[in-house]
Amino acid sequence: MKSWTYLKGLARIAYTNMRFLKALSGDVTTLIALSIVLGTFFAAFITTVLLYTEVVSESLYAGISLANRLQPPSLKHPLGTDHLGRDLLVRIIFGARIAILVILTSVTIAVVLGTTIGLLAGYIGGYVDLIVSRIVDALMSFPAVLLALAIVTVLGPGLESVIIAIGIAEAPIFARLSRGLVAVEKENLYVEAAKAIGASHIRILVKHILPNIAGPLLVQATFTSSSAILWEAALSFLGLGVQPPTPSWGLMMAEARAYMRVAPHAIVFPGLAIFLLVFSINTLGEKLRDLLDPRYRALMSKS
Amino acid sequence: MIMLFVVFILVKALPGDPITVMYGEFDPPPEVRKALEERLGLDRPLLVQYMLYVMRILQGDWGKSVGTGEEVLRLVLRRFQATLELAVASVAIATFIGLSLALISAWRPNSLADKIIRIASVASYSIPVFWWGLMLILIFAVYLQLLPPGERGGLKHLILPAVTLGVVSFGMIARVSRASMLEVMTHDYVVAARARGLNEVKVLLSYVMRNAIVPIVTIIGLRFGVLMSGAVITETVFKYPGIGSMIYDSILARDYPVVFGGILFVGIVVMTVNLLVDILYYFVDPRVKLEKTRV
Repeated sequence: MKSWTYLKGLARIAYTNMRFLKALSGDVTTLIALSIVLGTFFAAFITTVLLYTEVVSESLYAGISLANRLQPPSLKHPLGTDHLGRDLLVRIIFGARIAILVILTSVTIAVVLGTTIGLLAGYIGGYVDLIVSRIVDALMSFPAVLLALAIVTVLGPGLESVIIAIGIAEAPIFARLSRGLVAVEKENLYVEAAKAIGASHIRILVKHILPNIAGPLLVQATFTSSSAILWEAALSFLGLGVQPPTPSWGLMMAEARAYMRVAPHAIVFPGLAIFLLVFSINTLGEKLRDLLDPRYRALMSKS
Repeated sequence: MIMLFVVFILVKALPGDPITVMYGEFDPPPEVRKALEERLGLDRPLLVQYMLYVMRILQGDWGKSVGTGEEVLRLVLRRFQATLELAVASVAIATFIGLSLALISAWRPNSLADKIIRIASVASYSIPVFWWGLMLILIFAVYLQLLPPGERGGLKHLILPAVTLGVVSFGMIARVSRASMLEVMTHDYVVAARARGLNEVKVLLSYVMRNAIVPIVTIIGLRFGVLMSGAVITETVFKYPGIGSMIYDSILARDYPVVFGGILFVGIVVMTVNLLVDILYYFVDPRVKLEKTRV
């Protein structure tokens, strides 16, 4: 009997996931977007594995060959070379590592920090909620990038500072979002039921409420990922982020800027890489929001 | 009162030990540190320090630039004029493109034009600002040699940076406006107006647009904050002497009073704009009661 319900649950999950995937693969734009995002993740994964197993060494993307500098795209170098004769395609592929690393780390910081604060404020309510909400409001009305700039200024340039800065600067959004969601959610009967059977507050928050508000948080995390990439690129472009010779798309553009007139390709392609990835993540985010939005779902099932 | 509180929180949010900052890389000897702490009032309780800082800011004493010795507040205000020009121009561009596209989009939802516009909107806020700026420089200044690649002076110098920021910002405006207009269009009075045979332009402009305006105004106001952040980068790319390039140059020069003065000032401006947007509601939409507008 027990295994039967378990199987039924599994089948249900598989079914909803299939509907989800079917809806995702519905149109061409989403499909392209999905493959770009997966491709970037794959590139980041493969390059990291190759580097760690020492199949390739850093010289592949950092090796200087001045004889080949600033070459336009050709068969040997499909996207051309940069001012130190390094192949741009190779550097863009290895640059995916930084992009993915920044997404995974900074978004995790933002989600964990923001959601924890928001959950507690929304759940406890009262004065705690009032004070936390005011602080979050104040932080929200302050442009996130300026906050990030202030943090990078204090911590000094570098990848770690950028990750921390983006993580902290994006946290208030999650705090406000989760606070609002919890405030509504905690009024539900199931929370009262959990309380009645003597579940601890932490258990109620983590096991009962969190899964129910995960959808909107996930959608927000998607949008935060795309802005995290944009800000990493911008900060690296300004010389405040990733330091050479590590290839980051933003840094590659900063290096290519001085040679813009003679070798425009060195600046066009890294920017295109950022644009495509961010555009894809945003497209998926929009789709995800439509799918998770109950109003939209109700509309879909009716038709 | 709210303003004061916000400034207070902001100051709190800006970390950093001023003495370490003053000495840069080195650690000052303990006796020097102690003397400095006393002179700057750093040995007082935190709350007192913050109150004093807030008082100083309110009195217009924002400190002096380490590099040039100029008063930070004066420097910030001078640079701000340039940024304001840029911001107004790009908000105008973004609003114009965004609203026009949203109208076309909402007029016939799910048509080909609507689909293209929706993709274009997402593309708009996916563009890296600095890259887009450099591309425009490359096309219009280097190849076509139509416009100057940067710096300030007359309308011609404003076009490229304003278009850069405008194009990056129109997408969000278009998206929110479209959603808001579509929502309004389901109302009976729009259906009734159409049934009475009013022409489409009039229906869209005076029935739909007027009632869809509140979310649109909100998003334009909110975009202003994002725009100011984008301005930091755009100004750097175009060597435009606004507050953004000032902050950037000061970070490189480790001129911290100017950095934080600039950041604080932009923060205050953005918050003021947000507040103005809230007040504006009352005028554009008489349905909004004042007690409902929570900050």
